[in-house]
Amino acid sequence: MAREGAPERSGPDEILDTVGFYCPIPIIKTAAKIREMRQGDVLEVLSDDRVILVDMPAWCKSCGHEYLGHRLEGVEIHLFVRKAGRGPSAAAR
Amino acid sequence: MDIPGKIKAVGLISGGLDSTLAARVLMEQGIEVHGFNYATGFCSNDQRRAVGRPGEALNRLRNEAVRAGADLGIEVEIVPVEKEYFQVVTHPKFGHGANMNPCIDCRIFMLKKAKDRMDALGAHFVFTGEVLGQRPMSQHLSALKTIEREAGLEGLLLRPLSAQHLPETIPEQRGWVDRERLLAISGRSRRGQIALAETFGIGEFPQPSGGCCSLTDETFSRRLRDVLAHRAPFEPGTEDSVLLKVGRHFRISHQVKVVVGRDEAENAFLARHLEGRWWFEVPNAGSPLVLVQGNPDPALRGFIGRITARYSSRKGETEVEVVATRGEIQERLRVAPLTDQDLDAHRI
Repeated sequence: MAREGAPERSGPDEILDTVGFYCPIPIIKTAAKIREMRQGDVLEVLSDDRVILVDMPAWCKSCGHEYLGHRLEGVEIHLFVRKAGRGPSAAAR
Repeated sequence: MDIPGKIKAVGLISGGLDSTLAARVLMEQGIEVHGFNYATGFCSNDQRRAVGRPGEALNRLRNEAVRAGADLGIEVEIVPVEKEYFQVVTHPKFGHGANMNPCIDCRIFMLKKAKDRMDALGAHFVFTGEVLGQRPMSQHLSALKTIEREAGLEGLLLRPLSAQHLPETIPEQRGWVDRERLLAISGRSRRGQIALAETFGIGEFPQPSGGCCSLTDETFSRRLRDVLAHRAPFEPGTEDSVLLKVGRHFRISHQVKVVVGRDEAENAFLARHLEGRWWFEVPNAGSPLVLVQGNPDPALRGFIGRITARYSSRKGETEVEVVATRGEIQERLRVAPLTDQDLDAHRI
């Protein structure tokens, strides 16, 4: 298993499986999912589209979300995003 | 001057240099920009990603609208419109360009969508990165006027890069935007845009401009016309679109066509589509994976076997063994490789 900045933590708040989908579907699904989440929550996105390694950090930068890194498991890429911006805080739950 | 608080604009952001610059020019004037990108299912970059050739640089395959959003510091919302857009492709009011590209209708379609977003967001106007005279079909003056009128955006569509060549828009008349700080770029040269990109410190943008639309591609368009002519199942935005881009295509009958993989990456991509389909290969040889769309009878299976043999490493032999498989069914055929002359009549 390869790691690059993936969070060492108990686990994500939500998991989104986009394996088998290609650009731009994983980003569309990520954007929709994260809109439902609370500020501070962590989303784990599963993908087998290797270009997601470029797109996800860029998308996070554009939206202000925090890109936490990724982990490789075979052909699957697990990417971690912490929601920032508007909306209720996870800490406030 | 009529300035109603914070000015908001909705823009079509393809991720090319022009739309990135157009957004940036407005942001420099303090305008709040909301970027949208409509996913039509016909982006050739998306198709290249799906095939996933090893060794292809990731940056060359990235989503440019996302990249533009990162450069601009704004979210560019990607909106899937594949099915709706396909109606535009098949029934364009203003016709196709050189291939299946319905450029004028495409612009109208997307600008109508942008207008809806403008209304929903309470934004003041819509902008694009269009440059007067840059594209033969959709960016000459009369086309720009037609597009604006048909989209229901008369006076509310700003093209910041060419604004000084165009009649004043409502945002300029009302002082929402300073016309003097808009630009007078025209024509196909990109010198002005590249100089502006340097000014803004925008270093990464796709080269060359545009060119991401598969509908402008002659081969892809020919194959799409074939699908439509034979009423074959086709769902835009799915891997049906990608299959049109992959491999060599041959129409065998009204109901049956085959796709011949050209290399390992294409074979691997085709191998993901075997379920419920016939597929052919030459065992113990360098062989393409030949994927069949439709249900071939035994005679057609023999013919497809000959195509498979032709593209295998055993094409010079008089008789070649080919294996045809569908689920649990497997047939072994002994066939003569087809000649190129015989093949050409079937090539799509």
